[in-house]
This record gives sequence, C-alpha cells and structure tokens, in this order.
Amino acid sequence: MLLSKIKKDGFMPLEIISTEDIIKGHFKDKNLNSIDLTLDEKIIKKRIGIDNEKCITCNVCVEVCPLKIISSNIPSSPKINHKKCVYCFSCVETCPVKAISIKYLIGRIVKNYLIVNSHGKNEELIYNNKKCIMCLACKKNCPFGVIYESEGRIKFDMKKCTLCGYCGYLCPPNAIDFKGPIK
Amino acid sequence: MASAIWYLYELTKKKFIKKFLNAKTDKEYTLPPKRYRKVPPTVVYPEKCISCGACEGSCPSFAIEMVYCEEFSKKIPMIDIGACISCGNCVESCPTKVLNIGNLIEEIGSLPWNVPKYTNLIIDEELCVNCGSCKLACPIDVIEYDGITHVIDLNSCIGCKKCIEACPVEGAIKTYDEALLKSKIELCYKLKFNRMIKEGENGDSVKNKIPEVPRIVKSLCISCENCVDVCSGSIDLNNHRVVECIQCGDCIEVCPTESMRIGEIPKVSKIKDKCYIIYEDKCIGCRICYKSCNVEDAIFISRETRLPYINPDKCVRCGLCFRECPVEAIGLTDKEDTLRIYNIRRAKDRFLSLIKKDLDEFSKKYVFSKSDLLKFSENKVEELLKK
Amino acid sequence: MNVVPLGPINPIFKEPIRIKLIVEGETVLGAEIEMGYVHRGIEKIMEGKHYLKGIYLAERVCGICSYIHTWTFAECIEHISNIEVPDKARYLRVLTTELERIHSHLIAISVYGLSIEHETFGIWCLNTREHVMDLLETITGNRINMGFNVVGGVRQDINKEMIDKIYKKLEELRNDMKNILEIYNTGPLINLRGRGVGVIGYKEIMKTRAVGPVARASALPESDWRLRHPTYKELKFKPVWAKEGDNSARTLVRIKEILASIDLIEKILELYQESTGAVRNRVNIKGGSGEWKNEAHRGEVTYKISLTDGGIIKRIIIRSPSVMNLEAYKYMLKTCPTVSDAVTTYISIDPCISCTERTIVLVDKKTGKTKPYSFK
Repeated sequence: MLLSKIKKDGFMPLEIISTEDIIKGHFKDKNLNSIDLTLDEKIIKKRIGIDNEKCITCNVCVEVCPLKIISSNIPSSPKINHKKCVYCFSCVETCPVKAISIKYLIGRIVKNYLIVNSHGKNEELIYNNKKCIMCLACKKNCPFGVIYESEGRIKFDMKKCTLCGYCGYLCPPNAIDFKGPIK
Repeated sequence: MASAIWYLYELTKKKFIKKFLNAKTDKEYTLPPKRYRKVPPTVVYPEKCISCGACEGSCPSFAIEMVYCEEFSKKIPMIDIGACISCGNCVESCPTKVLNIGNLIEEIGSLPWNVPKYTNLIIDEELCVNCGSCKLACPIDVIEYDGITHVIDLNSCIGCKKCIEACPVEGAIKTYDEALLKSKIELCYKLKFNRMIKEGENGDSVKNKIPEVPRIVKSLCISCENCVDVCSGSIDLNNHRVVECIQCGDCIEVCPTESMRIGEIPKVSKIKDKCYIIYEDKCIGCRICYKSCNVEDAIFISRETRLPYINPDKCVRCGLCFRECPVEAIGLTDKEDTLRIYNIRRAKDRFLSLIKKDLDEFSKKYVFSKSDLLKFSENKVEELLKK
Repeated sequence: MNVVPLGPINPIFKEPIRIKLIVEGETVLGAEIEMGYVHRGIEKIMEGKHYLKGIYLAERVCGICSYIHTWTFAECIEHISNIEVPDKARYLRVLTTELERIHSHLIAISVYGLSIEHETFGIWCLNTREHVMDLLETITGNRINMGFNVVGGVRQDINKEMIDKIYKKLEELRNDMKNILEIYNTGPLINLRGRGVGVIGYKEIMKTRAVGPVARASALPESDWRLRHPTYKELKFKPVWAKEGDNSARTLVRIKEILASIDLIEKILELYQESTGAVRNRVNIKGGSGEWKNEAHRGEVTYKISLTDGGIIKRIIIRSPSVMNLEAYKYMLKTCPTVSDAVTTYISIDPCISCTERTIVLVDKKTGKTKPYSFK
C-alpha cells in the first residue's frame, strides 16, 4: 500500500528498505500490522567530489568558494577540504564543465520502511519560531554571517544566505528546516 | 469460794478501791474518733458526679447502685446501708471525689490509687485503628499510645465504659467481668482435671479440633495462664508464642479476653448508614487525611483529580481525618453518596492505571527500537552514498 | 465407754464446733472433732475478683485476727510484683499487728479464765482489752475489720496526738498486764486447774507440727515466724517460750507475749518517728504467683496467690494455724482427768474455727498421692 502511494506521488525514491526484522525484535508480542512506526528524524548524508577526467583546471571553483576551502593543484584538478565543506552548491553552479558534483541523500522511516531520497540544492528555508529555544548555535556557526538576533527572535538575511543547510544540521530542537527538490 | 478470796485480796489493794470509786465513764469514750468510718459513705458533692459508676464497680459487697436522680438529671450512687462494709473503696476510686466516709478523703489526699472494678476493659491490638477517640473520651486520662497501639492502664482504669461508646470499631475494646473470669477459671480447672484423669488412662485430648495453630494477641493477654494450665503442648507466655500445639482448641475456650485467636478478624464500623465524605470543591489536596488514616485501603488518591477519596467499605468512621482536615473539606453524609463517588473514582483510576501501564511498556519498546532503527538506517544511507 | 457431745453451740465456745468426747466415767479417752458449721469457701469467692476486693474478704477469714490476714495477703502480692513498701508503712503495719496480737491474746486468756470458772479474771482481761481496741479504733478507724491495709502500704498516717495517746494507753496497759501476770502466777486456783493438765511434749509437738504459742509453750521457740520477717529482724525480736507444755504454760506464754508486744510497739514508735515520707506507694501489679508466711497470733499463716496482670486473683490458698493445733489436741487429752479439763484444754490452744474451716488436702511428698484430711 505504501509503495503504491509513493508511486502515485510520482517520485520514485532511491531505495526502499524494510526494517521488519528490527521492529520484530523489540515488539515480540504485538502483531506487526498494528504497528505504524514513523520517525521525525531525518538522516542526511552529503558528499562532494570532482571528476578528474572532466576537469579543465580553470580554477573558477577556487575563486568562487565562500569558505576558501578549495585549493588549486595545478597541473591536476583542485583539492577540496571535505571536513570543512558546508555543501553550498556555489562551486557546482559555477563549474563550466560540470565536473564537481554533490550527492545529497535524505533517509527517513515511514511506516516501518526506510525510504532514502536523493535531493538537489535546497530551495527554501523554513524557520519554526515555536520550536526555537534561542540557543544561538546557528548564529555562532553560520559560515556567511546570515543570522542575527532582533526583538527576541532570530532573523535571516536572505540576500546573503546560500541555503547551505548547515544551521539546520546544527539546530538542537530542529527549528530550522530546508526543502529542496527530490530528484 | 475461790473467787471470793480473790476479791478480798484485791480489795486490800488501795489502787483497786480508788479505781472503784472513780468508776465514771470519760466523755471521750462515748465519742467515736475522727477516723471512725460510719456506714454508709455520704454523697457530699452530687453536683460533681460524672455518673462513671467507678464506685459501683469498686464495691466488694455490691452495696452501691447507680440510680437516676431527677434533681440533678443524672445517675447518682445510692448506697445500701445493710450491705456496706465501710471499706472506703468507693471513696478512693471516685475520680471527682464525690463520696466521703469518716475523714478518709482528707487523709488519703488527691492521689489516684488503683481502682478495683467489676468490669475490666482492654484494647484489641488487631482491631484498634489508633484514632485516639478513646483517649479523648477517657475522663481520667489513663489511655496512652505506646507506638503500636493504644493501651488502657489496667491498674488505674475505673471501668466507666466511655471509651467503648467512643470507639468506632465494633469489638475493639473487650470487656471481661468477674462472672466471666470466674466461669473461665472454673472451666480451666475442669479441663485440667479431665486431662489429668485421661492421661492416667489412655492418652491425650481430641486432636485437630481447630484448623490452625492459634496465635496470642499481645495487648489482650493478661497473663492469667489459663491457657498454660489446659495446654497439652507448651505455651511461652513471656514471648506470647505457642511452642507446641496439638490443635485441641482448649486454650481458645478458656481465654477470658479472646487473646487466643485463629483466623483474620475484620474491622467493622459501628455506624453502617453514614460515612465520611471528602468534598472535592473544598479540598486543597494537602493529603493530611491520607497520611493520618491508620486503616488500610480506606483513603485513596485519585489519579485524575489528584484529590483523596474514601472507601466506605473499609472506612471505620473514626473521624480522625475529619478532625485533622485543615479546611473542613470532610463531612458526614449518607453512605450512598460516598459509595457513588468512590465507585466513579475507582473505575476511572483503574482505567487510567491500565492505560499508564500499557503506555509505559510501549514507550520503553519504542525508545529501544528507535535507537536501533536510526543506527541501521544511518549505516544504510552511508552505504548508498558510497555507491 | 460413753460419748459426751460438746457443741456445736456451747457457752464456752467462741465459734461453733462439735467435739465428741469418748469417756469412761470421768476419764477422757479420746475425741472426735466435727467441723463445717462456718465453712464459707472464701477462696472460691475470691477467684476472679480484683485484689483490692479480695483483701476485704481476706480480712473476714477470721473474726479475731483480721489484720494479720490482710497483712499477709498484701505482702504476698507485694512479693509477687516486687513492690517496695515505704518504711513508715512497714512500721505502722507492725504496730497494728502487735496491737491486734495483744487483743487476740487477751481474748484467749479471758476465755481460758472463764473456762476454769474464774470469771473475774476473764472479765478483767476483757476490760484491759478495751485499751487496745480504743487504740485500734483511733489508728485505723474501726475496731475489728479495720480496712487499714492496702497493697503498697497503709491507708492513713498517724499524727503526734495519736502517738501520745498510744504511749499513754500502753503505760496503762502495761500496769494492768503486770497485775494480771501477778494474779496468774500467784492465784492458787488458776495454777491448780492449769498445771499438769493437757501436757504435750517436744516429741509430740514435732509429730503434730503444732505452731504458735502451743509450740512455744513446749520448748519450740523457733516456730515463731517473726524471727524470719525482715521488719522484725530490724527490731531484734526474741520469742517468748516455756518448756512445760501444759495449759498453764500456754496461757503464761500468751501473757508474756503481750508484754513483749508492748516493748515491740515502743521500739517501733521510736523507729517510726525517725522515718519520713509517705505511707503508701502507687503500685503496678504484674501477673505471677508466689507465697508468703507470717506469724499470726495463733501461729504461722500462709498465703499462696496467683495473679493476672491488673491484679485479678486467679487462685488463692490460705493455710491457717489452728489445723495443726487441733491435731495436737488429741495428744493433750491423755493428761486430762475430767471432762471439764478437756474443755479447758481445748480452750487453751485458742482454736480459731473460722480460720480452720478450709478444705484441707494432705499430699504425700514421697508418692505424690493426695487425700482429704479429717480430724479423727
């Protein structure tokens, strides 16, 4: 039933994995049909990579990167510091030969199944004022200085924002959410 | 003849003649001394009498009877002159010093002495709910709380039975009078004698007459040793313990205070149609009533409202909660009202506790499975990412 | 052989008893005693009663020696419950007992005087007794059934006025007693009727286990239980005794005992005036059983009581002295020449019938067998 509904939506997820074994292990005495386990948590995994064959070593990405974490490595293709990358898609968008690619996977548990979707760049920032506890972890860690505090709530300077999603990853009560197209 | 000689012999003594001539009765010989206890004792201050009947019980010759007096509209001792032996027991035992005989009351002082009584009272430890009603009712303050139960001082009690009237539990204060004691002692000797004869011929008394080994209630035991006398086995009265038993049931028969006991005895209230009720609109939820109540399962705390409510089947109507309540939220009404509220609250409580138990179980499982699932899915996504 | 019945109602008997004298001519060969006219079952009545009610029943065990019974009863309960009695109360108890001893002995001497047909002597003794009765009435409030003793002490204290009165009366009493002693020693008729009549020796006394003045008149001073009482030990008491063992000696012992009692009272009053405090303690009665013995006026009296908590009497056994003395009467009869001498001998042992009327059971200590006792 779940599968048919997903198909109706039009987006076929990347992967659908059953988690029956784990749930059975814990709810021994219950009938499995009566359990609909859906979790709020998202499992977000990202990876950036440069295709060496496509790269023409123009070094545009080095100039464009806001955090200056891409360093030129002439004659071969530039190097990316994976640990510090915030996946802002700037380099991907500027690359003339589309040699840089970012894999963006979101996994969630819906009705006993693990559904993994592949996403593109974030398009929208959703801030939930009710969940926010004003810890200001986002303000301190935003790599672009987008977030500021005024009148007891958090505000975003959307002109500067690159929708990288780093604040959403850090936020303890999940008050900041991002939406993007499902590929 | 011989005695006549002795008269002459004595007559020759001057002293005798002098005595003979002065043979007058001194006036002091005709007056009784101050201490002379002329029967009957007089009722000096009838207005002070509390109609406790201590004098009636203390009289060894049953000369005193409590008779209703219209002038004072209460019972006042009336003394039978013919039966009085002028012992002064009634004067000594009177708690308000109403009676007097001779000048006894001035000489013995106001100290309370031991009081002889016809009917003795004793509190049952197993039925006492420690509400303190008896302590409040006692006119001479001889009831004390010893940490486990309330105890009447056997030596000072006057046997007025006011504590029995005040006690909410049926049969919690036992009485044993002279007639009962006499019959029990007689029965004890009879059984003992029968057993001695039987032992000489063929053997023991009837075995397994009662289903279990009896226990001894400590507060009821007056160590009369009737049970020890009739027992075929052995009883340790110092530790209140039955050591050896053939379950013949003789000890239960001879015990004057029902201290020897088998089976459970329920606490039954004297008041059947009324019961205390907690008004929920007045109650502030301090739970003083819940803490002070000494009866098991009489007051519960509702899960829904967090306020106490009373179980009318277990409540003994002692009024301890009523007295302790700081906001007067407890009142006395018909039993049906209390029962209705009890039934509603109890049903809701049962339902809520059932749900809570289920939820507890489920959430425990949920937390465990969640952590497991997250770990599993993280691994899976990682794998997919690497592809 | 003929039988001369005496009693149960006889002008010379204080209490009802039936004596069948077996005679041959005037000589008395033997006697049979029948009792049961004043049996009241006091022990049975006491069962289940409070001890403060029981003490008044104990007082009525005997009409003459009423105080000694309450004293023994009270001391027995004090012994069971370990109650300490104030010094003043102990001295007052001895004082009252000794006064009562004087009165009891004077009655015995008086009745003896009447029985030897010396009525003047008898009436003089009764007249002297009035001093003691007055003192008893002043101290306790009543003359015979005093109700003075309670467990834990005595009811009332005495004051200076009373002490003065006691000293004054004792002086009169001593003078009278000296007069009576003189009369008794020098009167030929009294000695004629007394000496050599109703003789009982040391051996027979040991056989019959007689007690009191009867034993003491037959050279057995150790029979006095006062020697073993703690309060009398303080007074360094010495018993009076004689060795003849006849009617005259028994009465003489009584007279001398009265004089000894007067000395005892004077000593006691000195001790009393030195002591201070209350005369009565508040007591807490615990259950248990015990035994106590005292020297009554006729001999040793024993109380055996078992009590419950709160002081209810469960069982009480009273052993009064006259039983053994009546047993001794059989041996005395051998030296009675006439029927009237037999009566005199009976009076000289000063029997107390209402004390004696208890159910007596003899237990053989070797075999453990029991049998009821009868005087035959």
